[in-house]
Amino acid sequence: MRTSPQPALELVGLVKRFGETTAVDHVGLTVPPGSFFGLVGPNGAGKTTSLSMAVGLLRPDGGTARVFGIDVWADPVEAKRLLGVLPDNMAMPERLTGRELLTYLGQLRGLDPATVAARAQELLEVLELTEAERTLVADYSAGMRKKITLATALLHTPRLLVLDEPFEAIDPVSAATIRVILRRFVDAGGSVVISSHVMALVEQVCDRVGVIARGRLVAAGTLDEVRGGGSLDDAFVRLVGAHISSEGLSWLAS
Amino acid sequence: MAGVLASRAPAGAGVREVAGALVGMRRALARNSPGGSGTVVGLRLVGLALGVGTLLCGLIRFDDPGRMVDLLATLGLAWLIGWVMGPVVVRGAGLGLRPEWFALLPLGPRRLAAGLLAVSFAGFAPAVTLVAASALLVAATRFGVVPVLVAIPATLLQVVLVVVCSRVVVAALGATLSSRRGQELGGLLMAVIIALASGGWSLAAVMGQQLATGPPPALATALRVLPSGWAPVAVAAAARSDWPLALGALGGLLALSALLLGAWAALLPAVMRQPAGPAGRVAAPAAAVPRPGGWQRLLPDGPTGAVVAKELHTWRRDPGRTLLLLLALLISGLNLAVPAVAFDLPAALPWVGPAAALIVAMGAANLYGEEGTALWLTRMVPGTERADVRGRQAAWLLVVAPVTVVLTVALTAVSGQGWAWPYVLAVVPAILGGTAGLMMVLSVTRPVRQKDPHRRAGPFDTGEDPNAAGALIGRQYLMLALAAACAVPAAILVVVGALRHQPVLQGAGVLAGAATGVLLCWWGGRSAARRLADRGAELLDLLHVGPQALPGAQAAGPAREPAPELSRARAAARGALLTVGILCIVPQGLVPIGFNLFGVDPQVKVWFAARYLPQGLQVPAAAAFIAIGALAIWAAATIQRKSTGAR
Repeated sequence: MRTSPQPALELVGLVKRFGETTAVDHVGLTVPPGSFFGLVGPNGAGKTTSLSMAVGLLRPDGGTARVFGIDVWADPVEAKRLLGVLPDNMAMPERLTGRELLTYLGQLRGLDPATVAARAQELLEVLELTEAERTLVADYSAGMRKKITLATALLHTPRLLVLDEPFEAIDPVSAATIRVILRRFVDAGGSVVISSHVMALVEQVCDRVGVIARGRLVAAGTLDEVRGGGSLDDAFVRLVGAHISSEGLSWLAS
Repeated sequence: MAGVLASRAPAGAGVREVAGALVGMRRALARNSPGGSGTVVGLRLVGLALGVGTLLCGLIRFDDPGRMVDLLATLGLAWLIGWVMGPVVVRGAGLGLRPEWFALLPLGPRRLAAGLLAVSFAGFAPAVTLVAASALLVAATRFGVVPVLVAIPATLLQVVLVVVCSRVVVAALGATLSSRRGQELGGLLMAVIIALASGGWSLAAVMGQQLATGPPPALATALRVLPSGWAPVAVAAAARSDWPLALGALGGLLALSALLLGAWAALLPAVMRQPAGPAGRVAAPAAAVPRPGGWQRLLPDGPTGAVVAKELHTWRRDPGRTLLLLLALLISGLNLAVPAVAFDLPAALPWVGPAAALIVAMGAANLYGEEGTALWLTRMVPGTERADVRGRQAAWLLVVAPVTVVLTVALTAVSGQGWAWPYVLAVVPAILGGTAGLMMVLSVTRPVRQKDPHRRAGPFDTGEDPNAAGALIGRQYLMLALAAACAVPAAILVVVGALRHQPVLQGAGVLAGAATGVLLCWWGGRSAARRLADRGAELLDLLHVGPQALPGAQAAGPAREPAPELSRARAAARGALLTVGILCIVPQGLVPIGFNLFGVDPQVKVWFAARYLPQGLQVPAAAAFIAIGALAIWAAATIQRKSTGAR
């Protein structure tokens, strides 16, 4: 995979409002090619909304998103060819098996049948979904759903992966497998953006971090730049301005 | 919720408190059910109508007491079937109290069992059942004091029997009811209920004829041998002083109820050990999927072929789609084929196929909405919109067209109605092609947001938006009207051709039908694909977040807040008006008019009010019913519009 001088992902002044609420407020972000980027933030901070706008699933009220310099709204065909996406808990064609789902998507993307068949086999094996060969996606567990969605994101050899909470509901063994897959992808020149609220995980796998709180990007840079001398946990609590309560529930101790 | 129960029923709570808390909890579940209080009120009205209707049957005067037993035993069996089916539907929809929720509470199993049993006998359904069962009491008054004295315990035991029977079925089906299989079973029964509600009148009419002339001996015996017939058997026996049989039947009812109660108590601990998953997501035994058949190789490679394959897999495996076909066949069969055979009306037979096609069209009104947010996958592969639309159209036609065409050709041939050929040949292609085109347009321009399939609690769970169910029904009827409208131009040509005896004009009608179908299919697909490419992001947004996501919608509050529910009174009024409207228009309006048009035997009256009037007044009365029904539906729509427009 060749690296490009263009940023893998560039968000410029993204804004999204829902009625009176501004969910995402002028978020700008640059992800250099070949980086493993972690977007962290509390629940409801705007991570999912930002990433949905970044990959062209949600139309922003303002700002743009570019993938390797290509605007995802002006030239979606080219931009989405370079993108592999794992959204957070969206529906799938439920009445297909994992293999059928990958075959369907491969053909939809215009890959030739032999390539689709070979890649589907390999993805199912690596993600340990071959045992569920004859199970419909409708009967998959939450972790299996996540894994098959990841497979759909990898199928067409994208150059940028955008994964919303990829490790949620995944068992430790599969999580390790996925970490290895993503690491290898980055080592080969690919770029990865994940969102998570597990700081330890982000510290372990990412080399760059962005912190989002109340719809705004409050910090971004390399892992060391963001966390300073301390842990990412401490930096996060400080940046987000969280107050950890020790009061209430007094009856519990009585 | 269990916490509320625990706080209201601490360890020392008696059966009374437990039952009270359970009743409150069940009421909350009904209130929060899909469709909300409107659906509950509508169902209760139907239940009440059935209960009072059954009670009135007790007034019918038979010269032969045996006929009375035939009738009441039949009705008893119908109520028993209803009680066994009802909970499967309710639980399949993820509703109703489940014993497993209470497994962690510090309540003894006996006290909980007693509480659950008490709840089973409290509420609306048992009360209505008691009203219905009292038909026996009413009938018994004609035979003297002793039969009435026998009828009192017989009536009560009849109610106990059906309620306990339904408890046992629920406990025995157990976890299955909460799994996807259970939801599918519930969906199947729901489809049967919908079909009976819309076409059951023909079966009732056939049954009425049978009862008037006396059923065949084998059927009469079966009705008496089944426990649902024991109560009337006891009263009839008392009337002719056959004491051993009267006491035997009563004792049998008592013994059977006790036996079932014991079985239920024995099943309960096992039920309580089942995992209490969230709404209906107990892990289902993984459904093994058959390996792909050879048919897939016939499809072209590439995007369109891929979409067709995906859709055909879905048709084969999604019980929702299978149910749709079944429902279409049942409704058109009950409304047209059964009367055609029972009342000797062969002219109705050619229309079974076109009617089925119209009903299947209703299920195609919300193709993208019913898949939840699955549209994101296609959105990530831009440029495939045309393939997606054309693939869905092709798959729909591949499934629906053969069924419709075979049904139409076969039944028209069997009916011997030669005149019908130009009609059906003109309307069937127009309906099929028109639906294939317009369903895509409607699905992309007027989608209704539904919960994601993997989070649904059953086939009839439309999601947290209480107005979604109403909106969906509205779209389905719109699709029905559109599909029917597609056939109008061609049908007019054929009618005019028939009136003027010009076969050429009839031939032109057949051609016009084919042209309408092809044109609408092509145009609808093209405009839907364009819209999907231009406004796909907005469509996905609407399906993901709801109408608040639309630009220009001045929604207050955060995006995920569901639309406000209609107030209880309004929802109740809407439910009542809709029920009254449908009852007035279909069975009290269209059916009697149809009977008059086709010259059905005037003795066939059943519950069609107009049929009881003098000949000359029947059609005007039915027309008045249609007008009242239309007014009621208009009023219901106004309530809906005002409430939703206000937010």
